[in-house]
Parts: sequence; structure tokens; C-alpha cells
Amino acid sequence: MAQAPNPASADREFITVRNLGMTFGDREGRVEALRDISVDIVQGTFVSLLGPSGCGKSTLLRHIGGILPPTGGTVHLKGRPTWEALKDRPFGFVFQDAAMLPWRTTLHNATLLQEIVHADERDRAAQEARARQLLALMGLEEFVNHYPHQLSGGMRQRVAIARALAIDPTILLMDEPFGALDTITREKLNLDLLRIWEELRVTVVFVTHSILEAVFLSDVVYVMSARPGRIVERLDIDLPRPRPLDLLESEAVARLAHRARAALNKGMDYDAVR
Amino acid sequence: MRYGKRKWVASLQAATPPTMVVVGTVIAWEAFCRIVQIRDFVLPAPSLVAWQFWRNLPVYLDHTWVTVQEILVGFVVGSILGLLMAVAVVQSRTLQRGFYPLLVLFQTVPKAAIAPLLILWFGYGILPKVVLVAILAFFPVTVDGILGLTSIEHTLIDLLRSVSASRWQILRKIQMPHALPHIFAGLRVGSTLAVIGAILAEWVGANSGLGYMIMSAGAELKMDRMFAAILMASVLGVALFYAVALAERWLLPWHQTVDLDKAFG
Repeated sequence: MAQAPNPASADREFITVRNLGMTFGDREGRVEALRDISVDIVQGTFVSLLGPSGCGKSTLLRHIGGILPPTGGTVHLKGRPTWEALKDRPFGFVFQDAAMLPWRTTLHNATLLQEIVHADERDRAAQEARARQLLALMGLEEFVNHYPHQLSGGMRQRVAIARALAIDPTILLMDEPFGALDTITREKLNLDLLRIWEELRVTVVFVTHSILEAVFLSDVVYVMSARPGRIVERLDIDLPRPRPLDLLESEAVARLAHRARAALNKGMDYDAVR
Repeated sequence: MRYGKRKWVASLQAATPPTMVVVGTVIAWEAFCRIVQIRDFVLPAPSLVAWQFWRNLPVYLDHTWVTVQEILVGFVVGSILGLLMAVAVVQSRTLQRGFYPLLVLFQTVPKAAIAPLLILWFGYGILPKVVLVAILAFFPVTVDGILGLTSIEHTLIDLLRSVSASRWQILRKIQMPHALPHIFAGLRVGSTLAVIGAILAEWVGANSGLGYMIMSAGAELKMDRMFAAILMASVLGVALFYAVALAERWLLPWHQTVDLDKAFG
């Protein structure tokens, strides 16, 4: 909890990634996953990391979330290294794999993280009430007593989002959360995610390899190159909110998507130079 | 209620074919013995076995009780130790490096070979049998327990680390429940081994128990006694397996590996 922020930068500085590098492996075989990454995330914004498969965007998300220390550079939350900030539980993770516990109902899957964060309080009723509230927000009030195997893939992802939000995180970290879903379900979840984000005003860092998804959802899109992952371009998405689905067919989105695609292609060419 | 009744009827119907096979076999066996006039010390007729069993019921029950105690105490002790070993090995990398090869090595030792050793060490009483049963029940639970505790999705571990969960919380909330089906698989294997272990240890040296009965009846060519004792031992094995499977069904309703209706008609 010891926090001595620099007063000059305290209100603007949120998540700052500086010259971050990550190399996996030992003396025998090394893989450089990330190189010289610098990213700034303003509190309350929706930021996407867009890149091809295997570019290290999930790795970068784990660095931001403090569960993986980088081998070079820094990643700070309000001036503290994120692995240190982790102790205050500011992060809510949602992964591509919903990672439900098959022996727990929807409700108790949603309270899992609360049970750990509020382990000393033991107020189960309050935890369940909060979980029910968020499950209702995700449109799952009729499924609280179902087991994961009785839910569809999209529903499981909704539970995973409720589970992450139940600990009232400042930052929601989402690692291709809708990557395994069909397009129709995915668009529905995109809309719901935006609705919830506008309601709760958490900061979202969203990893995806879908250009349209990144453009549709975000305030800022960081486009990454193929391995080793580097930031090719930072795109500001100045589309009005709230954003309806038919915005996807607008010219503004097409223009932004075109720019993102160009940046992705530029990132692919980095390899040819190497 | 109606659904329940239908289910009951269905399981009765499912039980009919195996029951008919068993009854048919017994009738054929009885008929064979009577028609061929086969000598009792080669193959006793089922009626003879049943009569022998009924006439000496208290004796059979006494010997069965001895074997039951050996099996139950050994099985419970061995399973608990196996579970503790699995948890310990998973919690510490050093313990894992140190113990795992030893566990694998010791598992390959034919346990029948150590039965005489146990008799020498612990005498003719119940203790050596309990020890052998415990050793036999120990390994499946340990090995399956380690597998269950370690085969956790990486995503889940990441998720729990993201909220700084303690090792104890990960063990209690994720690893133990996840390992339970694996542990029950180990218990099921252990339950059948437990019966084998008790009978085996009684063969090597005992003055009571079903294994002792089988040995002494064999020495006297009392085949009817031998068959009755073998039958009792089989009943014990089935009962223990069934008990473990029922416990699994009761404790893990979300996980079903053994279909009891199919397994036992």
C-alpha cells in the first residue's frame, strides 16, 4: 500500500509500459517474444492490442497484469511495477478459455475470485449478491444454478466476465475473450461488453486478432508486428459513443480498419527485413 | 415420482439379462455335476457349496469379519497416506524430485514378494495383512492424486495468480476438487487390490481369514469349503468397489466415470 506518487504526474499516469522486452528460454534456446514495447494507457479508456497470432500480445497482457515479469524494461501502474501492484488486486482477467470450474454452478464460478480477494471477510451473502448482480447484467439471471457443461461457449465467457468484474477491478484485462466464438455471438458480446464498460467505467485492455473488433470497441488500438512483437502503430479511434452495431458498416470504420490493416502488413514486413 | 418409477423399472429391465445368465450358469453347473457324477473334490455342485456355507455360517462369518477388518483398515490407511503423499509431492519441487523416482521404482516391486517379509516382521496376526493392503492401496491413489493435482489448466493458474491467491487457496479451491475424480479412479483400483492383498497375506501366514480358509480347505481337498470362501472373497471385492463408486457418485455429482447401473446391472 506504500505509495509515493509523483504529484506532477499522479493524475495522468496510469499504466505505462517503457521499452519492455521479453525473451523466453535458457542458454540453449532463446525466443525473443517482445522487443522495445512502449504503451500508455489512460484510466477509463478501452485499449486494444491488435496483432497476428503468436506476436506476443497475450504475453504483453500478462506483463501488464503483473503475472509475468518482463526480462527488460518496465511496466508500471501508477508508478509501481505491476507485479507489485498485483497485491492490491487491481486486475480482472478474462481469457480466451473461459476456465470454468466444472464442479461449481454459474453463481459460484462467479464468486471464485471474490472468495480469494475477500478471504478474511467471509461474507458469502454479499459476495453472492454482487455476483448475481453482475450475472444479471450479463443476461444470465436464469442460469445462476446451471453447471458449466450446461452453458454455451458464449454464456461461459459471460460468466468469466462477471467473475472478473466481481472483484471490482480497476483494470479489466481480456485475452482474446471472444476468439473461440462464432461471429453472431461475438458481435452480441461486443455490444454487451461496451454497455457494461460504459456503465462501470473500468479501464479495459483487450487483446484481439480481429481488426474490426479492435476498431469497433476501442478508444486506442496498438497494432503489433509479428514475432518479436513490436508496436507498429498507435491508432486513435475517434468514433462517437455509444456505438451501435451498424457502425461496423460505416465508412469511418472502414477507413480506420484500412489503416489498421496497413499497419499490420507493415508489421509482417519487419520479418522480411530481419 | 413417475420419472423415478420409470427409472426403477428401466434398471430392473437392465438387470434381467445378467441375472438370467448367472442363474442359468448355476443350473447348468448343478446339472453337469449330477449327470456326469463328477467327484466332489474335483468340482462340487453349487447345492453342495450352498449347503456347506449354510451349515457353517458362523464360521464363515468369523473368517470373513477378520478379512473385512484387514481390508478396511489397510485400505483407509493406505489411501490416506497416498493422498498425503500426493499433496506433499505436488507442494514441493524438492520432494517431487526426491520422491517421484522412488515411488515409480517401488511401484514396480511385485508386492506379493514382500508378503513373507511382512509376516516375518509383524507376525501371524492382523498387522502384516493390514500393512500389505495399505501398501497396495497406497500407490494408485498417490499416482492418480499427483496427476489430478498437477493437470490443472494453465489459464486457471494464471487467473488465481492474478489475484495473488495463496498456495493453500489454489490447493483448496482448484487442485483438490479437480483431483477428486482422479483420486477416486485411484481408490477404485486400490479397492480391488486391497482384497487381493488381504487374501495373499493370509495365504502366506495366518490362522484366520478367508485366505486362510481357502488354503486350509485346499490342503484337505474340501472343495465345497474352498468354493464358499472364494465366493465370499469375491462378494467383498464387489462390495468395496461398489461402495467407492457410490461414494464418488454422492460426492461428485458433476462427474460420472462409472455408470453404476451398467457396471452392476
